[in-house]
Amino acid sequence: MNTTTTVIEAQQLTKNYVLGKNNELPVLKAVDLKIERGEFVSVMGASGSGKSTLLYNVCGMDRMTSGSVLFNGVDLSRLPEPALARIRLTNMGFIFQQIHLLKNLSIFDNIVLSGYLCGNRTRREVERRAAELMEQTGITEIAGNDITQASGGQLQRVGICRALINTPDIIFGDEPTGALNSKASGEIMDLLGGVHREGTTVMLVTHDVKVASRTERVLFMMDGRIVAEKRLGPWSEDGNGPAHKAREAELAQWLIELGF
Amino acid sequence: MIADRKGSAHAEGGTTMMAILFRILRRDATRNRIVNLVILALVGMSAFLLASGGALIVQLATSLDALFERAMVPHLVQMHAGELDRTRVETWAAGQPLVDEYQIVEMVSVDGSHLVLGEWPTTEDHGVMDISFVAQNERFDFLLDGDNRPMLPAPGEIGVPLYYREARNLAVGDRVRIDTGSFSREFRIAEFVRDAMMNPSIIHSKRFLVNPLDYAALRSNLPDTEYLIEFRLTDASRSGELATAYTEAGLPDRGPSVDHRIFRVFNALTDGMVAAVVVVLSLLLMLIAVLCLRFTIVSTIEEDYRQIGVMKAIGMGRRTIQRVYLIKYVALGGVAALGGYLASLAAGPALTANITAFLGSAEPPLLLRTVPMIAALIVCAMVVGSAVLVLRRVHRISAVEALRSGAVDGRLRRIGVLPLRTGRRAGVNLVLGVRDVTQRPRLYALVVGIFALCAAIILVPFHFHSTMNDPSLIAYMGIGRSDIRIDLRQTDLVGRRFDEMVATVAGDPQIARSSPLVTARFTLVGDDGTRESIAIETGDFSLFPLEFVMGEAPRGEYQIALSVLKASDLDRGLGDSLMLLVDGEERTTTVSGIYQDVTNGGRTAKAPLPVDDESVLWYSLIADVQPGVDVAHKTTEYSRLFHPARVTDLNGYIEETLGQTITQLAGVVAAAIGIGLVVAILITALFLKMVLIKDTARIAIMKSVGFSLQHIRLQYQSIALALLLIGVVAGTVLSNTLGERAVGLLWSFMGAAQIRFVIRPLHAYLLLPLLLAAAVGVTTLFSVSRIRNTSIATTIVE
Ligand SMILES: Nc1ncnc2c1ncn2[C@@H]1O[C@H](COP(=O)(O)OP(=O)(O)OP(=O)(O)O)[C@@H](O)[C@H]1O
Ligand SMILES: [Mg+2]
Repeated sequence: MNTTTTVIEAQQLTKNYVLGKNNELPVLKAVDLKIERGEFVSVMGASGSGKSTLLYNVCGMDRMTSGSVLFNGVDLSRLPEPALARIRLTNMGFIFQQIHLLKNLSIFDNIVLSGYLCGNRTRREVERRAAELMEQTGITEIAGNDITQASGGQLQRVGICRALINTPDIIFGDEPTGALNSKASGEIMDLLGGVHREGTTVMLVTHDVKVASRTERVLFMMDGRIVAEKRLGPWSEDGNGPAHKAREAELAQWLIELGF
Repeated sequence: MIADRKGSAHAEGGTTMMAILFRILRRDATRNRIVNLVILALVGMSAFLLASGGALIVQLATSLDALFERAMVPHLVQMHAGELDRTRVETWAAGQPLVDEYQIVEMVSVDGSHLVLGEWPTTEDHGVMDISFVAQNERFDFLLDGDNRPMLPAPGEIGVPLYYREARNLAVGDRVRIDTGSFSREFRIAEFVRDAMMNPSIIHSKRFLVNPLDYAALRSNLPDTEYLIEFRLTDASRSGELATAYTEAGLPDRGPSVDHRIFRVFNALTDGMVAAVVVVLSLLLMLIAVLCLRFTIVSTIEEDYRQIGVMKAIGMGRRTIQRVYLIKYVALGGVAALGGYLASLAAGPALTANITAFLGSAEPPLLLRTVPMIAALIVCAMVVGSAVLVLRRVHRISAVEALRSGAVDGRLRRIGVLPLRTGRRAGVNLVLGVRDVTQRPRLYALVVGIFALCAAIILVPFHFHSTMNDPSLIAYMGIGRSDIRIDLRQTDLVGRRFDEMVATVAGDPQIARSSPLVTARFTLVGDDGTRESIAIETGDFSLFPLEFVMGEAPRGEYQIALSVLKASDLDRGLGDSLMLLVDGEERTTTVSGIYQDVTNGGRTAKAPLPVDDESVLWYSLIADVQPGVDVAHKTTEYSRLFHPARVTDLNGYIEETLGQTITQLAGVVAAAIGIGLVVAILITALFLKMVLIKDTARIAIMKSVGFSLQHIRLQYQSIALALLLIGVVAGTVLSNTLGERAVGLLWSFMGAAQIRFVIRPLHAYLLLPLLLAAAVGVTTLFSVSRIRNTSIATTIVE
């Protein structure tokens, strides 16, 4: 595993979408962002403010227009597509609003596939890790199921297992709880909290104050820029209901002040 | 240490990936059973046909080579009827450096009316064949037995040409009787002989083989003899040169001269046509299979658009993603090719039965025996290759775009609200159907295209067969279309006999019209002054017109018409001039027309020129009877009256010369109809399956709005049948245009470059389309029965 302390460092990250000749839409405007190893970050902001675009650019999925992104010290803007894919496969994990599994594979096979492709572990090790992850996320019973035989909350857990199979440096989530009810959403955040506590860096995009309040650092985007950020400190696990409510309220207040 | 572990993990990655791909395959096989089975069947049939076509061609070439080698076919044959000065020919031949070996074969001509074969109820009077008896040759041009060895009949035994085994239903042990009234003799059939030169039914001379002692007896009792002056050359490709030298030397030439290329073409004709049709069918099927494949892959990619995007997003390489989708087509192609190949092995003996019977069962060399396997592999490669090509679209899918393309699954958003409250129910069904046509043009275009191909697969062989069976075919064979044709070979005094015959026929009240035609030898003067002999049919060609490819019949003494092959030999086109020696004087004629001919080796000419008795080769008379007169009856009467002239009922002519080809073609037509129907059924099943999957939600909504199950089913059935209707119309047009051209290519081997299809409208435009409609209709019944009581709730959960 990498030992540098900064996982992601974006400098003057700019992204324009080309709409036509001489017609470009600036979506990210010279964003600077640093995420240290082990951080638990969430990104909030109005719809269209550029949250997803930021995420896609810092993970090397999309090509930035200018600026740079260092991942573990490596400049992603200089790498060709296969190398970027390799990094995403090996060092990053992804959770999306809908996880889109391969429909011709069982749930277990969907999880181990990335592990096999990565090739850093033997088949045995990959399978053992998959079993562990499923145990932790509580989906062991549905391992052999078809992907149609699982609930939305269960599928999102499968997504987390798939994202973690190669023990990545960082997990990206673009509204991972967006399609879930608040109970299921809370359970997913419990899991991600656990992942974070074990040392994995996590970066989430979310609309949900409740979700964001469980992270330790909230970034607020507006019109293609990070205009504010708030540090919330560690989340205490021990069921402190009133404290959690207070934390959520504090964040909500901050957001209202920013005009969210 | 760590590096080591990585290495072993990588090495293992390949097999692990294969295991995953295999599991993908297994789930897909059960999930998309119908689609997979349809593609499997199409590819399998295509592989079967291509492998079979390959096997046919290989066997044909091998058997033909073996036969020609064993029989030692002459490279050039000059036929001659009448007196022959042997020593002149022999002295000339001995002096030709090009001649390797030569021989003069004497044959005893037997009149058909004197010959009875086995239990056949009539004499060979009506037969179109020139029948002669021969003894086995000593040096070359052997008549072979079943094992391709020169046959040597014992006294009293006879070797009968294979042609008669089928045509007259003969068996070894049957009797053959010659009875002229004054002389009679009976033979026992000991073998059916392969005659490399005269095997094909289209060559209307047949040789019966007897013991030299019997031959001598026949020779002294039967007056008519004919000669084959045969040459084997040191260089077979220069037979044309020798033929010219022969005529220039003024040697006996009362009869056509034929070279070995013609024997090969005619021997290969029937099976070559069958093989060609089989190969064309397999290619059409392959085209259909590839079209379906393309469509299913494209729609799979569309359906899995976001799934593919996610795979890319999480870092799976393009090649991995492609392999996930490709594996299925590799498996399908492999299984289908293997199945098709094995089926072709099983069907092989039946398919090559005709070849092995007529040409012998020579074992192809090892290299050629792999041809069917290679053909099957090619089909497999086509399938995988086109899948790879289509799967390149995966490259174009961008992860980011796929992830952005909306949270809700695409197909649920596509359901439109149906603004259909007015009209009666039947009308509504129709409106819905029509609406649908505008909504999914690609799928519909594909299905229409394939239905059109199905119709063509059925119609083209059918038209081909009808054409071969039609009396008008005669016009394409170099013979003016008429009811009766009388041929009289040149012997002494024949000229006067012919004049009497012409007068008799002209005076017969039962004859509507008649026209004498005299074929004579002329000399052609080349551009460089070289002289070449040419047989020209003379007479009035306006009475019984031929079909001309270009131009028209020659009028007046300065015009000439050439057969397609002759024109290409001489390098002359319409309007070009040709210098002839007529009555010792040079005369420039103009080419007025080009026609197709299969008689006399396909190289002939026709011109209304004056003829002197000396140069006549043979006389013919063609005639039409008055309406209501029985042609067969008239034929019998004339053959008695004009003995020994050969009188032919021209409808019988086709039957005798092309009968076997037509029978074999009938088999191909039946197979083609079967294939066309099967493909239509498969495609209907595939199409409805796809549409029904895509329409699950739409059907649920229609039901919730109050449409009955029956109405919905009727809708889908009417769509399928409407598409079929369009497809059949397109297929019919396709058959009558492109199909006609393609078949013309087959005909060109026979010397007929262009042929108009004879179309039997009742079958082609009604019965066969109805058959297709019935097949498609029944399939839709089964397919739409899948539309059950799916509720809107289950759809949305999905
Ligand atoms: N391919 C594209 N071409 C042009 N414009 C685009 C494209 N993709 C995104 N945009 C625009 O970029 C802007 C930022 O989009 P982005 O998806 O990053 O917003 P977001 O903050 O994630 O919004 P949401 O909360 O709705 O997900 C939007 O205005 C969007 O319309
Ligand atoms: Mg977004």
